[in-house]
Amino acid sequence: MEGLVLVLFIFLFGSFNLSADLKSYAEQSVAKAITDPARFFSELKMDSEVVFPVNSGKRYTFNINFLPSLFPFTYLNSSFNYCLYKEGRLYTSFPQIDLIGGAAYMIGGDILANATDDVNKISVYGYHLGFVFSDSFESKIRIYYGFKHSYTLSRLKLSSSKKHTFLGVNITDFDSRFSDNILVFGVELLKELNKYWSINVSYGISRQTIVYGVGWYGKWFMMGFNFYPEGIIQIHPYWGMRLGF
Amino acid sequence: MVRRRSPVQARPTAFNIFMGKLFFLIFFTCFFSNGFLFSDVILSDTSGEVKIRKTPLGEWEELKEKNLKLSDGFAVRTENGRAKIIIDKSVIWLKNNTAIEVESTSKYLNAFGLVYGKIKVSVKAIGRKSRFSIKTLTAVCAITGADVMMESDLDGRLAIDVLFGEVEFSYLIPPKKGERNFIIPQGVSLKIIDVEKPYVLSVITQEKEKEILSSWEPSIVEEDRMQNILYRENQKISLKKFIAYSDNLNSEISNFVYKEKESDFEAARTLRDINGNLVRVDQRILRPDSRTVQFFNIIKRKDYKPYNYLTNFSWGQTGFKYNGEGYKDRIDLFVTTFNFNKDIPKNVGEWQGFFDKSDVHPEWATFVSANLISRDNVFFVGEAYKYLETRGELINNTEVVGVPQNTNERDNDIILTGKIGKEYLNDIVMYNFKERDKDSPTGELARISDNNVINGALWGVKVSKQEIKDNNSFYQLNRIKYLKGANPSNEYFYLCQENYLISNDGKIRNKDDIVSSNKSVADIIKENAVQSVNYVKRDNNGVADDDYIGSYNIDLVLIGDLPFSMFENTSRGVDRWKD
Repeated sequence: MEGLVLVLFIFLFGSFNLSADLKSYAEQSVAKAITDPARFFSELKMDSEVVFPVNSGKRYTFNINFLPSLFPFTYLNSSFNYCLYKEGRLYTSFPQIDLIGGAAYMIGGDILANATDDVNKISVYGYHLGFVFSDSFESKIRIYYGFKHSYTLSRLKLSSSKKHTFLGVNITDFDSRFSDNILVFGVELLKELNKYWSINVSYGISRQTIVYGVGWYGKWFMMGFNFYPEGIIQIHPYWGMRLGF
Repeated sequence: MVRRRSPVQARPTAFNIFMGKLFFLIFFTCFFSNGFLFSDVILSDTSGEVKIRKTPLGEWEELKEKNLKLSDGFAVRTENGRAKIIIDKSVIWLKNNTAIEVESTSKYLNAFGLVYGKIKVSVKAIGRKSRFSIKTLTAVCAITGADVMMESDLDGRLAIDVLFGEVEFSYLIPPKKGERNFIIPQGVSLKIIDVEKPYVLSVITQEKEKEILSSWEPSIVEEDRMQNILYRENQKISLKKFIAYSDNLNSEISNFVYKEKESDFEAARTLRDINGNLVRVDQRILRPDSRTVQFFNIIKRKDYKPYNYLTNFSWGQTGFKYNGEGYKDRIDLFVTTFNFNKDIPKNVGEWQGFFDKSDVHPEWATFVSANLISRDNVFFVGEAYKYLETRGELINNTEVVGVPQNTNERDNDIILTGKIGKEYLNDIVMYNFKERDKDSPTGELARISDNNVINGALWGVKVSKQEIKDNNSFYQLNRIKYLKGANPSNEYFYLCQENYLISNDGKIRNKDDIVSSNKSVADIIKENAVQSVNYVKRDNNGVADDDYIGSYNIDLVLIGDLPFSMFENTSRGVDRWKD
């Protein structure tokens, strides 16, 4: 519970660069989000793309990101990590292989559209697919590495009551896409019974971006921070459900 | 009714009988041979006192031979010794005072019974449908891909430490509370101190880890048992260093990105324009003083090809004929300058907040494009804006050049243009100009600082505008009529503009290339540019093909890289002043 309060606190107050002017940072982020919505929504969606390996003793995990994807950004999301092969089962030096995948759909697009006179409808959705290998370094430490393809599409239908022209051409709708092939490398540590801690670094090959993540997860929930150094909001605290079966 | 066989069917030949028997013989030989169906369970190494029992009801006897093959029913007991049993690629090590029974050596079920004592089990490479299990008095443990240590006694006490892999645990006698079957994952220990009490799970301790990792080989000397651990400790130090590095990575990246953002306000791109000329566009931001910020867009072409009309769209349209020639090493320039009433923060990250402050506004702004072919004849076109306190906004009417508003031309935009010496260009850019005679405007400009006339510079007020465009291709032709000096006794002239959205290889973009491209805004910005060609033409009862100022054009190629980045930082403030 303390952990959740901490995440909420940090999300509300801490996701800004404390050394800079908070208001300025927030306004700048809003401006960036407006300037490149697909990128903004993609970064939010990436919080729901769970790359942690399936725990020892489990066959698959089912994940939902509550904060910030579902609340406040209304992303209906779920992801699924399935253990295809357990480490050392058939071949001694072969790592665990997990298939990962998930989808997200923003149901609050219309709310966003209503907030501005320029846009009639906003649809945002996306998916991710990939695989993760994990190798035991020690009984409580696993190294994992993998690949995922992340895709987000945002469709904007501009208001017909307003005329949007560029160099004389009338613009009525605008589709923008954000996709990347991402390499993941991380370390997982079993801290206590059913309590894991993990750090990972993701590198987007197509866009040459780095994302740094630190997370804690247990029997029911996961929480942590994703750092997007070049992102619109640089620190994303997150909290979600992660069930292992 | 009994159906009779035919004579051939009735009696199988001796050959058929022989072949049938041979087939079954081969089949059973293959199928039931030890190598096919049974694992090789070998007592491969021992030290100290080790006894064996060949049948469940047999007597314990001294071990006399090495590499003894164990079959179902065999048992091994270490008293003051150690033993090692190899089962295909898996191994069971026995510590002293341990007894183990072989229950099944089948390939599909390697089953052993730990009667008492302590063993280490390393199960490797067993088949998908195979099972490796150790039974104690309390439970059966199915082990998959694991290194496990188990300790049991005759009272049913049990300890299982899973170093790697997982163990499927099943109580032989169901407990009063809790699950009967469950999985003990990697890194976890299970302990049953009293069979009447529930089991306890905990994370494996370092001592247990070390014990499992140490060598259990019977014939090894005690001093060498920890060699393996020392090697692993070194590996662990390397991993700790990586984690420490990763921990610092975020701050490193943040610092790096912060520096990058400072220098983000430089950008460059090489592309082709509509004429196929190779163009290098450099963009940068300068701060000539604490209250002024300048955005430079410098367009360089090694070779500039001559043309009559730039595209099919302008062909046949008066006002867009190029009367100039080809050039080498051509440079065009577009400069945007904003001067504020307060000092601009040094940190770009604070700009958004700064621009959004209600008491912050620009004092003036200029947008100047210029052709720098000749040092003495710089052809320029510009717009200037001045902040009016009474209206709380930037205006671009005659008051910009110090001429009071004429009721007929209220708020009409003005333009600055001319052919000037290069030394005067900075006066235009830095808003150091005014109408030479504000009481009787001539349309000529003089410097504010010393009242010297800026030779060749003039201004005019907008009279009308005609736009030619398409609803599919991104092109726009503008013919804008101006009156020099806003004085009806003066002449008229036209600013003619050709604006195109082009790709990096100089192709004119269509609507679908942009709005249905399925690309992010940032990608669209990177893959496109705006080419804007400006001419100032004479009035001859309409726009003429002849130039009003020399035989020049200003051929700009504007990339969105830097403006996009700036917009992200300043958009809200800019919107406010625009309103």
